[in-house]
Amino acid sequence: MSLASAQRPNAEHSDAVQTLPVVWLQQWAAQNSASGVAWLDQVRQKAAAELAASGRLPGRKDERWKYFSLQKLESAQPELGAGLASEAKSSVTQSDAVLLSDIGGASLQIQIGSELKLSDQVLKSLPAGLSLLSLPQAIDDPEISGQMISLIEMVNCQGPSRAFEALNTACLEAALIIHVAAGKDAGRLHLEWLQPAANRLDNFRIFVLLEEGAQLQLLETYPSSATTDQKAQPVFNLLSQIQLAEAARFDHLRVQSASEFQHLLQFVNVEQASESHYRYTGFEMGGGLVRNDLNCQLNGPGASTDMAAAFIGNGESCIDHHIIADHQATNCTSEQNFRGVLGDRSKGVFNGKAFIRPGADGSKVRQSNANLLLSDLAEMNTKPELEIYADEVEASHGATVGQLDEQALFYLQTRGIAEADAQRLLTGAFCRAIGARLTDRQLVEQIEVLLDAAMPGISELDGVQS
Amino acid sequence: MLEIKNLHAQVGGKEILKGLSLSVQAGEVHAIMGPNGSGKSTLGNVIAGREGYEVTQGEVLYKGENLLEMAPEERACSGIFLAFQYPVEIPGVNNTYFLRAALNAQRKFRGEPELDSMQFLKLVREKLEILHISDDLLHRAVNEGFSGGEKKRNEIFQMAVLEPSLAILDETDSGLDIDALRLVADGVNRLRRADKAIIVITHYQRLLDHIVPDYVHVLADGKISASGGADLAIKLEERGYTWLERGGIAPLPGSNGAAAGA
Repeated sequence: MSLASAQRPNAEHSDAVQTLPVVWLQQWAAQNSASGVAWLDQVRQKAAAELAASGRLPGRKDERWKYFSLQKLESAQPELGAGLASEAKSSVTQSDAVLLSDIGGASLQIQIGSELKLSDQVLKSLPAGLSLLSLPQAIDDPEISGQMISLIEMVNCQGPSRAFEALNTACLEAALIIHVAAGKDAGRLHLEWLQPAANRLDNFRIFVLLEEGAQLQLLETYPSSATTDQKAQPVFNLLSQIQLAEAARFDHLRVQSASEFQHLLQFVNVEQASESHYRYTGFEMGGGLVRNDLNCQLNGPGASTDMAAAFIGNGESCIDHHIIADHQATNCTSEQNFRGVLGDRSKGVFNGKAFIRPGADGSKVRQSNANLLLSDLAEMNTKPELEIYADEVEASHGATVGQLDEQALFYLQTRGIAEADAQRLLTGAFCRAIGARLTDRQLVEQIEVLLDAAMPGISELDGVQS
Repeated sequence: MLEIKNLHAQVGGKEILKGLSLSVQAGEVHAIMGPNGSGKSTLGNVIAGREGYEVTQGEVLYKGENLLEMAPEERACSGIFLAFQYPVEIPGVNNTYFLRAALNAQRKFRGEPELDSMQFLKLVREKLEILHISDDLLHRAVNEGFSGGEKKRNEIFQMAVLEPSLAILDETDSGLDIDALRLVADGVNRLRRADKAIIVITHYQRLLDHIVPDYVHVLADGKISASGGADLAIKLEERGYTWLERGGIAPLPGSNGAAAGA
């Protein structure tokens, strides 16, 4: 499939069954013309060409996707939310309940697939030093567009394993630029993502630009779209590019309680200057196909990253974390701490990598992935990896997959706590270790309620024990 | 309160209890002594309902009901408490939260109103004060990082809060210094009431200086080989278990606990 044919979607000669990426490129081209911004058209075209060249979604053959089957997408055949012009075509349903309430800070609701509306009301409520821009606004700002272009150019769009990054770039239109001026602490910004109950794939791009010494907490929440329609399986393809200047501190939180029919793909690339700090804390409590790729490039001396998540698998969900901490400079620190609870037929994947490049002396690395399997049919694939090419490195890594501690269960029962409650208490405690990272008690309490509600029942364990 | 008749139990296919009989009435304190491997802890675990302890023969009646058919939590809710020889560490579960969940589960079972956190905290502070236990234990995860002595104290504290009808202490004295031993004894003595019974499983006589039992039973090879009063423990301490094995005293008439139930 060449770029030329991808741009001619209405060619009547297409006979063979077409792959999803090719269909999506055609849908995009049918509804969008050139943006008129030379660099933007260029990056779109280049990514479209790369996607067309690879021509398919990633599959088992691609190492990064070995355990993450996209079969559900292949069968659902979601349409591309091709540009904001297509908005009217599909119903956007508002979720019935907010996920977290009264948590303070600036907040913004984003209807995925609709035009990003930055109302005056929102913009006026922002603390000093924090600016939010849409893509057209950012294009008009030479300084910001300069940073944006260099970040976009860093996105790897090559080969089937990068199909979603390529698609996101080829269809780059809906974007939010978050900028914090040097030395400012912008507090908390809450993004509430509302996903339409439509059989549609939507792309979105976030740029987070923190200038020297700036600070921000970004809280992203995904309530359930409250759909029970199997034919409407929305896919969200989010690419977040984060640039942290010297000594900037970015606290990134994600809380999702999506329905089993919502698919959430997230690719986060972080570029870190010296002494900057990136902290990620995720709570994955729902979703059908959930993919979180976090890639931290520790470019300057003394940069640090601390990434953690609790994930809970129910039904037939698949939750995949691919984590990279790339130590390029001296005295950088990275931590990875991921905890999974998997019930029913759910599946979890953890692939954590830490690279210590030549010369990155004084690096410290810790990786940990612990998992509880609550059913015979649940599955966990875990692989912490260290590649060390420098001296004077402190590194540790470990992974465990186990079942609930029988001794602890019995102990709780002998005090009068019913077996099912004891199981919930123990699985909840297992995940609370991640919640303990947050200092905001009110937020933690709300998240703990969500975690408890998402805990799978224990099944078929009795058969194993006896 | 508790009637054990001809109890045979096995663990992993190996018979440990070989026809044990014991009768415990309300208001009594029974001590069960015996050498290692005699089946003391197995008895505690069978009564508490631990999985893997298979009863092959005999019966256990608690307040007239078949105990062996009850789930561990039902036994607890009916008033049975086992103080563990090795209390389990449960990271991530706060001690206060856990104990309130336990007490409220038991109250709910008995049809009593549940305690809210203020009421519960008041109760807990009273108990801590009586037992002279520091309240920092409330803020920690269940037994996590506790020293051996702290774990045993936590067991006694839980017992004081839950106020069981029948408490079984499984070698709660092992590894304790004299202060901790007094604290454990004090906790047990406070539970001594006409409507409650206590079984103290121990290897040594020294705990029985502080908790004077009404009856002492010697467990040997899965059966009660001798029963007597508090003085039996002292004789055992002086002469060792081998003294019994050599026929030092004759089993009491109709022994195997019959005397105790009288």
